[in-house]
Amino acid sequence: LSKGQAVAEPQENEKRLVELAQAGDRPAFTQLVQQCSGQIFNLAFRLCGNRADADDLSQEAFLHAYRNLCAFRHESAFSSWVYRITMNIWKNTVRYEKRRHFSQHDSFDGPASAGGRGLTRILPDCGPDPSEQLERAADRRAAEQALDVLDAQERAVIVLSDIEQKSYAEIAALLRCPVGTVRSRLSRARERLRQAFEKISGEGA
Amino acid sequence: MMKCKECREQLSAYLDKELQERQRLAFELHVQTCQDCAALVDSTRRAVHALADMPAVEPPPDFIARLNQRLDREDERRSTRKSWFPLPWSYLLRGAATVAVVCIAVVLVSKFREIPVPAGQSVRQATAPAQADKSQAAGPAPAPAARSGGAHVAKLAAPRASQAGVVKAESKEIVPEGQAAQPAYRATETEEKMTGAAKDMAALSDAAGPGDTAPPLQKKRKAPALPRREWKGYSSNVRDFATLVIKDAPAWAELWSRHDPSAPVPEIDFSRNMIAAVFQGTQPPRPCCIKITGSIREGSRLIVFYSDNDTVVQPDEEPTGSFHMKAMEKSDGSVVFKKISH
Repeated sequence: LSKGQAVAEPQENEKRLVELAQAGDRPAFTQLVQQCSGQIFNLAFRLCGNRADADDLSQEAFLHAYRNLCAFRHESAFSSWVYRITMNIWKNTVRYEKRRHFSQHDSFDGPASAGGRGLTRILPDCGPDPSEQLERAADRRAAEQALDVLDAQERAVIVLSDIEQKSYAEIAALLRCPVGTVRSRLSRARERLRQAFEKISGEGA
Repeated sequence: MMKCKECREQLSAYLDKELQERQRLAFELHVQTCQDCAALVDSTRRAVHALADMPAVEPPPDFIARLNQRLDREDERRSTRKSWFPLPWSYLLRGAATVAVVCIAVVLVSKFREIPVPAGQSVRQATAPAQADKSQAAGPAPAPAARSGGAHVAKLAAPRASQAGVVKAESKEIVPEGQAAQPAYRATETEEKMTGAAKDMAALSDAAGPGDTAPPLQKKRKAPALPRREWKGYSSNVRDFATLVIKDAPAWAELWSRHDPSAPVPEIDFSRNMIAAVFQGTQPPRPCCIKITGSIREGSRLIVFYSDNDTVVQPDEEPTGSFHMKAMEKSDGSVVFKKISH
């Protein structure tokens, strides 16, 4: 098989599954769900911050996709379509229900700690050193907690940029806002994330 | 030389490699000489890397099973809805409305056909109310011909859209008290079935007394000209937005002269009617269509609803201020205007 054929085959397979599901074939839809449930659940988990809400959000997204399957026109991958649905449901939830995670913020007015780390310090990718692994685990916990401090908009832009690794243009499309807004929102969000991260790391140390 | 403030502003873009080469060099030069900013960069990068380093979470093991249960319920709901009524609700409502209209039309037509024409009744007498409408504010005094009992045949000549209105006028003014309980026709039954709009029309037609002349026989089914009950358009001389209630003739004349001095003031019987009017004005100058959409009565209070949308119905006419004036049954209580937003 050539490289082009190898790429095209999964797309054709997905297209066939979607067409079957649109015709009422439930196993085909289940197969589509299985292919992207991990991605959607991860996005939901990062957006919601806990498994219960993530479960509700991702289930709701797939249910919405099932109800509106006839509207899917193969203009993007099925997973991208459900991804957008998930984002939209979450945005509506945030808009109307005032999520408890973002209703109260701590103040981070303390001075930024110098920390003594140099510019060129980069975390090792997968160092075998146990102490480094411990440090990385601590950083992940602190970052996860710091994420909970952000408000909904800030959290969304951080999740999409720094966890989901989306480009500015993709984030702008998902959040339906200009790229400039994404840039400025991300800058503010990272500053708040840094403040929270430093505070939590300092407490943990 | 870059300052700390600029450095902080560009930090996020630097981490995403979004800075241009010159900006990046200036940024890195600043960070090498400023410990505080270097610490900021390092700390932010650590947080961002920690996020990217987060392990993926797995959905619960029963995720697909629970989703399938919900999909089963969704399928059941769909099939129940389809088996009970396979079409969308809007079709059901439209169908019901059509059936209702047809039934009402059939009942009305059959009722009018059963009405006997009194022996010796002349067509001239029978169609008197039709002529009466031409003299809109002729006063309550009915013509002698109409008094003699021409009301029943007059219904045959009533217009399709205004049968109820003409009937009401006859029942109140043409039929003498002594004949009101005649078995051939009971006007009050029809009145009870009249819709609000028909009552408005009836109230207006009340203003028109019976005339002296009647049209010839072959014209008896032709609709008589009812008094106009509403005026709307896109060009009014009333320049400011206004919602008005007019309850007497002088105020009506004044408003009309402001609205359109070149046209004669339409005659309205203000003993029974009043005018609700909305004017868009010319500020802000935008193409729109203001209109009265309906009214409801809340106790003694009458609420008049109006809408104001941005669609131009007549694009060839330059809008200078849309307006809508509507005659409605007189209300002694207060009148409140409420805007409906779309």
